[in-house]
Amino acid sequence: MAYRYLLGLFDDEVPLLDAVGKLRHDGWHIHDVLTPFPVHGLDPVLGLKETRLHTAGFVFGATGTAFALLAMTYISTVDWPNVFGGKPYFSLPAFIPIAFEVTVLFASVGMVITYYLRNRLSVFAHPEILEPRTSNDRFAIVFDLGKYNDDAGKLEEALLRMGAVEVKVREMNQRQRSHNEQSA
Amino acid sequence: MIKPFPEYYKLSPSVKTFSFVTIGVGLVFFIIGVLLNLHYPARIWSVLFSTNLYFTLIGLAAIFWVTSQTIGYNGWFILLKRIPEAMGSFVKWGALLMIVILALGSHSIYHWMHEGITNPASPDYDALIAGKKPFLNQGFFWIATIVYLGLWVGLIYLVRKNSLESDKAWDLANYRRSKVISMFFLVVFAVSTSTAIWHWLMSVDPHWLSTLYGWYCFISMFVGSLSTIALITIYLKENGHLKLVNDSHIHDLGKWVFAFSVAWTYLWFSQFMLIWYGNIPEETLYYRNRFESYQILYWLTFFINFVLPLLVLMTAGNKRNPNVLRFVAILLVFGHWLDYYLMVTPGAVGNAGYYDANGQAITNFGIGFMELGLPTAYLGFFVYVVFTALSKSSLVPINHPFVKESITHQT
Repeated sequence: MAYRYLLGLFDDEVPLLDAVGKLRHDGWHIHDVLTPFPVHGLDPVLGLKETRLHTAGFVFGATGTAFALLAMTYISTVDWPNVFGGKPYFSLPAFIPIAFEVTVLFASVGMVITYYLRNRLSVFAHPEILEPRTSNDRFAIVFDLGKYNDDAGKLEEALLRMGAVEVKVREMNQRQRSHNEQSA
Repeated sequence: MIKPFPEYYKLSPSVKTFSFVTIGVGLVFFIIGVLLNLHYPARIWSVLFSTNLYFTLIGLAAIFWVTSQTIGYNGWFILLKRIPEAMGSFVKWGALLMIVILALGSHSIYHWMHEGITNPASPDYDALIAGKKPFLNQGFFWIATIVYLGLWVGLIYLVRKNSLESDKAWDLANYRRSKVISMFFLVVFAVSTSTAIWHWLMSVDPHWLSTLYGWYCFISMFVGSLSTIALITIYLKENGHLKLVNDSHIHDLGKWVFAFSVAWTYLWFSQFMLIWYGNIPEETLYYRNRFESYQILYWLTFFINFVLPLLVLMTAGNKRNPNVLRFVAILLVFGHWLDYYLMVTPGAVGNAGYYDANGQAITNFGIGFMELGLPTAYLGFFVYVVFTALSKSSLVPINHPFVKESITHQT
């Protein structure tokens, strides 16, 4: 019972957005925000770092292009040269569609694997859920009580004043990663 | 919630000066070019034709964008809607000039219009063109040209009139009417752009054929059109208009430009690869002309229209940055003009049978006074017509049912 978190539950996104802005303005460090769907405008208010997943995607894609072109060049000029339709062994136009497909394959599969690794998701992972209703009809602002243990009362009062429908404390066996640890 | 408010644009002196200076300088250059090339009418008429066609199709594709988004229940573009609608008002001028240019110059552009080509007794007899006579004949060509241009001008008039009527009062019937007009326009556009491209552009190389040429030309004009919309939006925004437009709108315009630049390359390459693979003489002729005589320009279109937007507009930050988007859009407007130029001129000049003093065939005159001046003059004319149309109504369609969705747009 090492990790304790305080959750402010909201039933709508509008008060949630206001509350996140005000709480950060007042100097509170928000551990995470859990929502049932992507809320427009939450990222900048929360100060979420931009994900680097697309950069990874570009690197994977470029790797795929290079791999496909090199592999086809090697196969059709060195390893097993064949004449197709009277074209030279090294026929770049014929390689382009395959290079394109391999680019897409590398980029998509690479991004999925990166995403799973970064978020520590897999079939064998059994993460603890902070609040099941955040996948249904509740929006939660999460605070780390390891940091704010003495201020729990003040936080609860502030959250209720800003429109939270419920405030609760959860004790977890696993440490919950903060939003910036997950996104970047 | 911010309420939509009407904004009025007054034709600014700087736009007027820009138009008149570009028209003046461009025309002077063009006339010098014409005087230097009086012996080579194919060069003159093919530049006139491709430039006029390009600017007309930019206006047409802008209306395609409005109508397709109307049918697709698009909400975010409503604040920008008046810009493509104003661009559509160039089509009537383009259509008028098109008829003049084709009436005077079609003989110099189209090899198949020459006497005796389809007559078996004539020394100029060409069996391949004679086989295409049911499609390639002057009667059909002229009727089709008039019908295309008439339908386009008429439907664009209806689209714009209906849109301007919505400013008077909040009226849902007006919105429903816009859907009906859009449907008609899209059906006409879908068929007529392809067939018009066969008539006007593919028949420049009468032996050659390509089944996806119509779509290729469509994507080319569409990228030119989207880039122009982005340019006008950025210009108006930086001059204190379109106050409700935010960087998410600019971002989405950037996405359109980026996506359709890639689509352009997809068709550019698909057309090339099938012809390269099939290796049939009638088909490869088209590429032989361009790769041998127009090599630098042909690869320039590839770099401007594909490599540049792909690398520059790939990141979200660059799409949102008006300066970067403007830089790419200006080059794309030029790049797709060059694309249209290379669809017409190599065929028209190559088929004209010009020889220099040493008896060598002339296939490429290169870029000279004429090729620099005419697009410049057309650009000034286009800007003047479009900005005059913009100044005639509110820049924001305040009574459109989706206008609030556009104001709160966020990506």
